[in-house]
Amino acid sequence: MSVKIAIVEDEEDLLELIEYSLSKEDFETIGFLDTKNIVQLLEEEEIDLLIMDRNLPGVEGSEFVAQLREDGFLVPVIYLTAKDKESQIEEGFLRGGDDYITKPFNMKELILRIKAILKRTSKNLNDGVLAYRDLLLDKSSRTLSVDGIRVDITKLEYNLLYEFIINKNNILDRDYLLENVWKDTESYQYRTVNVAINRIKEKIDPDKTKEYIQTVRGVGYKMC
Amino acid sequence: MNKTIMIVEDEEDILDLMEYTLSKEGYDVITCIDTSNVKAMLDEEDISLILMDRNLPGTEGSDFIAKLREEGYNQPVIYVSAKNSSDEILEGFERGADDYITKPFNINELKARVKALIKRTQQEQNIIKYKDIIYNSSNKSFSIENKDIKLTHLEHDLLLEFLKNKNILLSREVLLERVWKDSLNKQLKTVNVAIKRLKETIDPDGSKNYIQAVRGEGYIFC
Repeated sequence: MSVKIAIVEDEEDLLELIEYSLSKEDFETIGFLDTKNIVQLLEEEEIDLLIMDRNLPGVEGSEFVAQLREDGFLVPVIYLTAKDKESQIEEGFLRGGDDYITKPFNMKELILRIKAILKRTSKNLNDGVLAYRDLLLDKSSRTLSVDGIRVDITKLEYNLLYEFIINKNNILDRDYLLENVWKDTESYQYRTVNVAINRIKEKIDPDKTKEYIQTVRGVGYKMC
Repeated sequence: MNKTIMIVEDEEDILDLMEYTLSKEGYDVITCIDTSNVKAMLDEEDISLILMDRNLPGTEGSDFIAKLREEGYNQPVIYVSAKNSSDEILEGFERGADDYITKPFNINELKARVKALIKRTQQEQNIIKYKDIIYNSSNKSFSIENKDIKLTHLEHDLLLEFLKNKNILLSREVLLERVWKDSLNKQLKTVNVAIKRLKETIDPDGSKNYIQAVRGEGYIFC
């Protein structure tokens, strides 16, 4: 699945330029001239990132983002704006921004900043590696190596490990795992999770010395 | 628990300023004036973020980070550097940066960028387990011995405060401030009453003794 980025920018030429540049990086883009349809978009589609102008017709961009945050939308936001005063930049962050770029801007820097955020937040960016202790997930080939040695895992096991590594030290309950790894909480049972975890433990830690995944009784599992 | 930030910066004045500002924000700060101990620190401590200068004695900061990334170290990095040309900034991102701040910098912006990065990389624990008490923050529910318990809004806040500060003595003043958000209009007796009621809910037969009163001091959860 490709990364989906929504861009809110009222200058049409600039919007087109950004859309063009991002699509060349294989991002899927959706452009908007104002904020009217953004909430609906976020409710209906899985958007990985929002690029937000501040001087917009109607609503000020950062006020709009503050409202999104209040309503519980967690989508990462990069402001791209001519408001370049120190106090305005601080304001942007306080109102729920993840990054802030002032106009005029360097397109390459925008792209690198987008990637830096997606690297941490999106499952859809298939780029780079994710490491935890001696486990190394290669996101482009979706492969695992343990202590430098390649270990074959299934697609499901990859997704399961991925979920554990990005949530390290956090207890994941079985409902969470069914929802986020199996994407289906109806037709599977908790036993499914137990079985899959036992199998993956055998693969990554055959002599049971490393204790990557711990069982937390009555709750679920955690990676630590 | 406080998040720990590591700062690598060879100019002592700037290092002091950053350390002072970030500790005032409630972070634990570890400082290094060069990269020689950085790896050892990363192996030993749970570091949430690295602030990295680039012009350092011995090593170039972004070269150093690029090597760390190759070895699988994944901690978020913000460069704080006088290297401010756009090529240098691009290079910083290609060498594993999460963010890039050029010197001279606005300390408030640094604070804001640190906070934003920590927010997106460190998920809040959504389940806290202590003995037989389990708290799930996604639906704000407590259960004890796998049975859900019903708490009022205030009791919820109170128990959560104890859970987050287990084995730490909490005075009544602190509880009023953090739970009631009001230490002026409420009396210390309010706390006693609320805790007594909470104890009856979570430990009806008084056998578990989660919350202990410390005479003249406050309460401790253990």
